[in-house]
Amino acid sequence: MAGSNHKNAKTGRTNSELDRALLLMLPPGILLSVLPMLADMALPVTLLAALLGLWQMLIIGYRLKNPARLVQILILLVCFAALVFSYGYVIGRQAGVALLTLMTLLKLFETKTHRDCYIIVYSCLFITASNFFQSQSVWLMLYVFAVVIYLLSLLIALSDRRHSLGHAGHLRLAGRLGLYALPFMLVLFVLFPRIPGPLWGLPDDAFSASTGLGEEMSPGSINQLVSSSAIAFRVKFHGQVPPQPQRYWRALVLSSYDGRTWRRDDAPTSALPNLEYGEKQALIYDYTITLEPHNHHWLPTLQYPLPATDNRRVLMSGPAHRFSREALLLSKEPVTHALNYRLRSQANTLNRSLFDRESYKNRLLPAGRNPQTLALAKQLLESSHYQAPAYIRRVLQYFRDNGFVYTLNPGSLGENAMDDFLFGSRRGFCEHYASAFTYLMRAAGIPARVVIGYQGGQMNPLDEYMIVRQSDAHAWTEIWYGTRDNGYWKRIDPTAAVSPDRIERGVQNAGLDSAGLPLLLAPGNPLLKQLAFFYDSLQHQWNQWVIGYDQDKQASLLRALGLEGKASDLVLLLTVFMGLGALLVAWLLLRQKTRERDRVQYHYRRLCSRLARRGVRRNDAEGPRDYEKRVLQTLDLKPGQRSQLQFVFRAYRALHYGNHNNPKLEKLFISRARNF
Amino acid sequence: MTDTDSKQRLTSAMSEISRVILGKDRQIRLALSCLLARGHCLIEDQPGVGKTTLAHTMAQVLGMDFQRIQFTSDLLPADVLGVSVYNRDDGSFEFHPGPIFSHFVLADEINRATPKTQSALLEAMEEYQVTAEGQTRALPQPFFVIATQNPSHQIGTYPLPESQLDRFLMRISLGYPDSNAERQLLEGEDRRQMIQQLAAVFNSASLLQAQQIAAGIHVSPAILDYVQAILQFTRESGVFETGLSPRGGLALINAARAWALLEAETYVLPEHIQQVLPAVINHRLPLQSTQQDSEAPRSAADHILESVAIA
Repeated sequence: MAGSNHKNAKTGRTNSELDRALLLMLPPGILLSVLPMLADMALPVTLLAALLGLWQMLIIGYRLKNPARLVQILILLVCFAALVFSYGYVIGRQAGVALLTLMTLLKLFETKTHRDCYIIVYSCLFITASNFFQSQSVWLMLYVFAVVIYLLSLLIALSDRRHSLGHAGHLRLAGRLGLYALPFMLVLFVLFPRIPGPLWGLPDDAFSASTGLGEEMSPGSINQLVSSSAIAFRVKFHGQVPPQPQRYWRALVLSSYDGRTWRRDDAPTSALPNLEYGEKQALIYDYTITLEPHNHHWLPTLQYPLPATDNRRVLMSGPAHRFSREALLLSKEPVTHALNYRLRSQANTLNRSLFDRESYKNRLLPAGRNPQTLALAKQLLESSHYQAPAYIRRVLQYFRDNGFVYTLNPGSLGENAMDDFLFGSRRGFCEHYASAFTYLMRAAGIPARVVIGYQGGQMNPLDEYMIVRQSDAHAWTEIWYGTRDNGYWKRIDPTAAVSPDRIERGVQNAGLDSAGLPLLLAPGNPLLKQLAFFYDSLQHQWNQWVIGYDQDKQASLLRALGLEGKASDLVLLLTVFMGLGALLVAWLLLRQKTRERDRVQYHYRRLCSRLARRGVRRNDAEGPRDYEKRVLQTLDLKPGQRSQLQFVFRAYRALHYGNHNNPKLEKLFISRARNF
Repeated sequence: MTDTDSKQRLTSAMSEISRVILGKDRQIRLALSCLLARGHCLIEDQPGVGKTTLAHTMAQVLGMDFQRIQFTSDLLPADVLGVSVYNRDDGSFEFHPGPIFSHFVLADEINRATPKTQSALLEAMEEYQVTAEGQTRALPQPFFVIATQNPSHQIGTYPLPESQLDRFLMRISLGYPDSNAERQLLEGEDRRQMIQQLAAVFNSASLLQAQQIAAGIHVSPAILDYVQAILQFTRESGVFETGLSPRGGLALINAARAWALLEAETYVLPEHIQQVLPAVINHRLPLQSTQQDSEAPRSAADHILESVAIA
């Protein structure tokens, strides 16, 4: 008997050796670790994964036979086919995770030994970590923590071959270990040297999951965003806050138009903008933006950023960036994770940068299209006596007077989009108005361009920062105002002519049909709003202190501690903390060992030393009964105390020398012994 | 039979015996726990202090059949164990069991017999069986031997060697009764008559049961720690010539179990160990000669009780 057991353990071949209950917990483990990504995976892969998981559960649960080798190979081929069909390749982030998930599920078919189980659990841990490519929210972190605890409990169950703990025991132990790891995690998080930029190359699609403004604008591209309550960025103002109509967050300037889509200048100059800063200090806003990842380069700013040190560097803190000719901030790396930057803007600054090439480019129109619009431009230009200010007024007046509607459902436009819009539907969202206005300006020979970004922002009263949502996405126009040599880029928002409320009071008060707006933005429901603010505040803190904890913050933390903030200091601190941690753990373990064995004894000793202080010292070789007798004889006790002491001694004897494990009595003993 | 039943019987047995043996409660209790722990008892004392009476009373109260063997220098092993006699009628040898085939044996003045006879008895005590003429015969259960011994310095004795003393679970001495008890003894009726009138509280079945209950008394790890500390002290302190054997430790635990049962406890306390300690270990632990010469002679148990701490 013993011999055969030994043999099994050595070869590890028999399936009976693996606990079925344990095996049954593996497929859910795999599915749990991939669950947050499942929705974003291609449908065939999701279905395959669910199907495989279910099948495995059935095989294990009902002791069915594993499919034949040939069938297994067939399934493998189906999996690859599904991957190639869905992604076109099997590498990269999404395809890679999908591949790993499917292979791990397939591995279950040939899981016969403990070693196989370990491999599966380790794969699960890897898959779980890859969830952070997708999102880095608090909730995901909590979820991942829970899943890791679950996987840890599986590892414990795998090692606990005698089942001395039970499932609940495994989970409890895993939870405890997880909690023990927390301080180490925190110390490592705070002190481990931060490296700017990614540590190693990630696949191109690593951070593809992001919504927000694209790098171009065509009809419908912005009103798509309006239904999204997702956060675009949050702003903390250090000092005054601009009024609602001034909250134009510039993200991108689009100057080339093909009749349908506005795009960025395809050959941007690297020249710096020619800015003329205003003199009044009053219009300077100092603010920190926490930007949600959007996978592009633009960093939204208010008009116009003040240089921080020299002309090249604008941000007071934040990522590596470039200050463009259009006075926009562009980060060097695509924004793939939430990032923080602080800067100052001065509202009454003039942008006087116009090269001839820019002047030319910003007057280009697609040839042979929109004849009605061109005719309208000509007519309005004539009636304003070829004066630019009057022309602008007339165009805006035209929007105001001709029954234009500001709506989320503009309907589709044809080949001559401008004609259709201006003389047909007359229903449009901001991009339609910005687009049409810019078109009309260019038609009159005025350099004009579309700016996209965000307009508005809502103050979170709980934390005093501004939330700017995707629904605040907006498009407006900048025209060259004044003469060729003495002009500047002036912001004109034609939407304001059609729907002044949009600009004055925000998109939620623009009179749009609320069905299209996100629930949280819909008017009314103050409690819900309060909750939403609270939730956002939490998310904001998370972004500030966890996601946004970068090299700069680490260095400033070290400086606050009186260190220089070099990497060597970090390593030193880390070593010290880890050493202290190891000592602490050793001490706790030792203490726990003695305490767990002798909790009763510990309290008895304390009782003895308290009695010794009252004059009756227990001799080393004195048993508890003799000692009790002597104490009762010697000390002058009240009857109540006397009986209590008798109880304590009796309970001690029963607990320490008796064979009944009685937790209730133990508790009672400890509390009474303490009280005495 | 239940635990409480056993305990009641034990209590009444105690009181019955102490009606006859006056002022010797502690010794009675020790002798009883010795019996309950399936050990044998050596009583060492002057003649006439009541050794035989104690044995006799115990046998009567516990309902055991009683045999007394008076050891003399010419006693032979066969006189103790039994002898095969040729039976002329059926032409075979017939075994005539000796006095040892009895539940309760009093071996009086064991140190008067020759070592050969002594060891015959002691072997039977140890093995609970007798091997005579190639045949092994089991002794009846329960089986309990009380041996008495005069102080060894008297003339004409063969003192038991230490290895043999180890076979006795306990060695107790009765000592003179205190004056009150002695007065009562002198005034009172004839002890022998009293013994005849005592009612048996136990029979062999219930006694075996009581022994089983005693063996089941719980010994906690804390007690084992204490006993091990005692064993270690006897081996390492330098006070004793040789330390206690593991058998000595086992004897200590078993005796303490029985003592706990007599105190109606369900587990062993350090006090129980301490109570049986002198009786169990003093005869097993010869003191170093230097220690023996000291003016106030102290027993091995005294050393231990003083020095070994209870955790």
